[in-house]
Amino acid sequence: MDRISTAQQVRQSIDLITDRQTELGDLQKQITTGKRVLKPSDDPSASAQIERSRSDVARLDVEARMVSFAKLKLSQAEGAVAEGTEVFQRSREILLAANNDSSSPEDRELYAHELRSLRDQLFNMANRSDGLGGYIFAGAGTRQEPFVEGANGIEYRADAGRQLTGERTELSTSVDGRYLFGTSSGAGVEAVFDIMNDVASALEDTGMDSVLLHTNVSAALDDIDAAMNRFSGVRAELGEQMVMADLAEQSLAAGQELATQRLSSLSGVDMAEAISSMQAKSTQLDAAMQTYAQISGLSLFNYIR
Amino acid sequence: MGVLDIGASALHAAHTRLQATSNNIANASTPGYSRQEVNVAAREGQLLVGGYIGGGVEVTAVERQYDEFLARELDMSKSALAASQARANSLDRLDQIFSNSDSGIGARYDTFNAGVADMVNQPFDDATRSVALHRATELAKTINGTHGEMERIADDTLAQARAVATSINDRLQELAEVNGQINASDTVHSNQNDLLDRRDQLVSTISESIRVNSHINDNGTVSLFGATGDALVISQTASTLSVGIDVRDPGRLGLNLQTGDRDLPLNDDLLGGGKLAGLFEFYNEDLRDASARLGQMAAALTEGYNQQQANGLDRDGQPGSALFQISAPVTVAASINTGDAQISAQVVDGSVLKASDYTLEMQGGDLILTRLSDDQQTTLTGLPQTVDGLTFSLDSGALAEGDIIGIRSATAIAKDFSIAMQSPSQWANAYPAIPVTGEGNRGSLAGASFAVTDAGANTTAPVTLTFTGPDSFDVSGAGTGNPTGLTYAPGEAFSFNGWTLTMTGTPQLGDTLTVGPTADPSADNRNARAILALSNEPLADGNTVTESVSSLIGEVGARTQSAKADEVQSEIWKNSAQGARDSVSGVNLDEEAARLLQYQQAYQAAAKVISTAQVMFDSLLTIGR
Repeated sequence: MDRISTAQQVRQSIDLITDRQTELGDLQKQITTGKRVLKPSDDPSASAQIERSRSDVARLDVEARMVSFAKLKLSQAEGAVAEGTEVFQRSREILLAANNDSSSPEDRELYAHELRSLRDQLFNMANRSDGLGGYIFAGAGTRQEPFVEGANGIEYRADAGRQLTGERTELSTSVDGRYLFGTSSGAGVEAVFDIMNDVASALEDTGMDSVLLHTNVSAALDDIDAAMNRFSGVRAELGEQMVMADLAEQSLAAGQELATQRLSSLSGVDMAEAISSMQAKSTQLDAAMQTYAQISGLSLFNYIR
Repeated sequence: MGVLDIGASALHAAHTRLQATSNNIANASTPGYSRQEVNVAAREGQLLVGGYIGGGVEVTAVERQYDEFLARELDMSKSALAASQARANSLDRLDQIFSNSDSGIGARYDTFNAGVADMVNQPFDDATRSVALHRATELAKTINGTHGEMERIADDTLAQARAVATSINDRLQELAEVNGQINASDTVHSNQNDLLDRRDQLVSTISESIRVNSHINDNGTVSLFGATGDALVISQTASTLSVGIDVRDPGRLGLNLQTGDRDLPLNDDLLGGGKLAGLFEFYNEDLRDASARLGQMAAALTEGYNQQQANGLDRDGQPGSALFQISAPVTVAASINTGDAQISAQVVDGSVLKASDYTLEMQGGDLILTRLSDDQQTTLTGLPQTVDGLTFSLDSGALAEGDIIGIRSATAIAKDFSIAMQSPSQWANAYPAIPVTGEGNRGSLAGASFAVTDAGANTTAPVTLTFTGPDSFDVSGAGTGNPTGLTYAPGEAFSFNGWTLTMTGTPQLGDTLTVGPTADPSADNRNARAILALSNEPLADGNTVTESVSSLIGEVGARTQSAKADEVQSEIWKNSAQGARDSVSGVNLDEEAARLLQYQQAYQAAAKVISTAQVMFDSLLTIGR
């Protein structure tokens, strides 16, 4: 009953073939790029989620970068603080030896000399660069050496405090030098450099009576013990921060893995499915072409002689 | 004589049918061609002795195989298909802009944040400042470039719509001429069928550009109306369509219909179908929404980052300068206005800006502001007024009743979105003030968190907190009013002079904490941390920048996907309408081949009749010999 016009028959066949070809082209693009979602319209809600997941991965990378920077700074600081502790231990040994009544003025001069060189070692360490343009004991931040010998003795040029990095986990990237080493201002902790200098001067002073010398050396020992306590306290804090940084790194790595998995499940192509679908489509295209060739070959005109 | 006459009539009929069949075969692929059939009838007979005898055959008409209802259905489906196709093709271009997630706005923003994180890590290193500024510049360029791409698509769409209007006008003119020819032609004129085909084909072609309603008059001419009901062709008069920027709203395309001297703006929402409708919907809805969202993002970045910059100090200790800048909204007075008001608009709070444009209209003495994205209206009591983070001001003149000002805010401000910062040294990574505990403190008091919350914070004069016990303190310093006996509780926030401080630990009598100027702003990273934290702040009308980017992408994708689905649906409709029309009017070559054989045989038979008559005549002649 329904007539089909010849032009319509041809049009339908062409439509079928071009539709299949378009589908094949899309599939081929997916397979070669490995991405299921190439344009937002391929899957709008997945595209929006992909954008967020991609951003999540990037943010986690940023956080990981900050944590790894903090770890570097923390280990530098820990090394420096440990070195300081060694300096104090050696100073302690010297002072104990000097405090012995059997020590001669010549011995004490040698001790004083070593103390001064230990004090200089400590001072250099207090101003040690982090190798990146900053300082380990920069407090709240300075781009100059934090400790200077000014008119009033040892001064701390940075603000007391510490610098932080990290968004999820706050980690120190500097140590409060004022608290650790003290200054000469007299208001707070006496500068450890002054303590070592002063006791060295006392040892060098051949005119000082032994009682006064004992008093001086004992006071210096107490001060050095106090400094060592501060150093080990800070060292413990740094250790804690390192542990936090390690934990943060682990959780970031887990987060990154999750976010990356999510991203690939959102945007990635299921290769097995895509390839089998591509095979099915090419079979369909082949069939469409063959049937078209067969049908269009059928014509009554072929039989009119 | 009878037999010869009958034979001749049969020969004529068969010949006409063969001609019609050949013509059908010739036009099998001609668009709009309707198959023609020859109508024949037996000629009236003659009463002879013994009864009536037939008088042969007669060609009564050559008839077009045509169904008006099916033709109209096809035209409507073509309108729908052309509209969805035009919209889908345009949206496809927009979709392409957001196709690469790895180098898009969102990715640029993340890279920028990575640069800020490096400034947090190494505030003393000027290289980190340079990298961060470079990345911010890339971000601004990407957003600005996306705006530029959208503007190009808008320009192309306008040009396309104009070209479609021109082609519609040409066809309308042609149709008016065909009406004239039909009117002049005789009803049995041999060209009539082809003229009618041409008429219908023109209506069909016009339908692809704009949806029409056609009315066939008794004399065969057609009257054509738009979906809005306005006449496009009446008899031999054709109207003219023109496309341009809407006179009332500079962010829209408008359509105008000119008939003789009469000019009429058409409501494009009622276009109903055709390529023009698709282009209008894309320009006025899809593209405008995307552009407004992009502008909202640019305003949010400008507001958020410039504010945070203003709270800090740069490397040289100067107050932070702006990072981004946006263009001012564009205001256009409608050409129909009778008043002379000059209105301007300014973004005063980019964090609450809506992704929309506005119109300001004087109605019945009231000044009505319409937000175009959701048609929400606000009556303004005088100017200046601030709504949705925009301040509207009357610069000069006055509005007359009925006057309209079109305001392109969100869709225009990304036009010049760019970096305002001149040098990397201007990153305000430092806070101007810092809390420092007294050097001689004996308790465990420590500053826990500190933030400068006001760009005008007074931070040059030190403020000292002196503890009078473990849970009380006095404050001294300019701007504080020197309050005494304040209660201290760990973690509780105190605000003075535009900053906020929380402390922890247990203070002892005489312990102090001083909030004073930052010693070395070039090495401080506290405001840089605040800048980094902006990536998690709801800067764009309650959304983070990332959320805003992802919803823009999702929106463009959803619109494109739905336009493509519409296209597929209309294609199915059109194919079925085409099939229905073709089943009546289309040519089937096998059918014509069969007819060819049939009429060829009829022709041969008729010729045989004539030769028989000849033999009969010859026989008669031999009788006389």
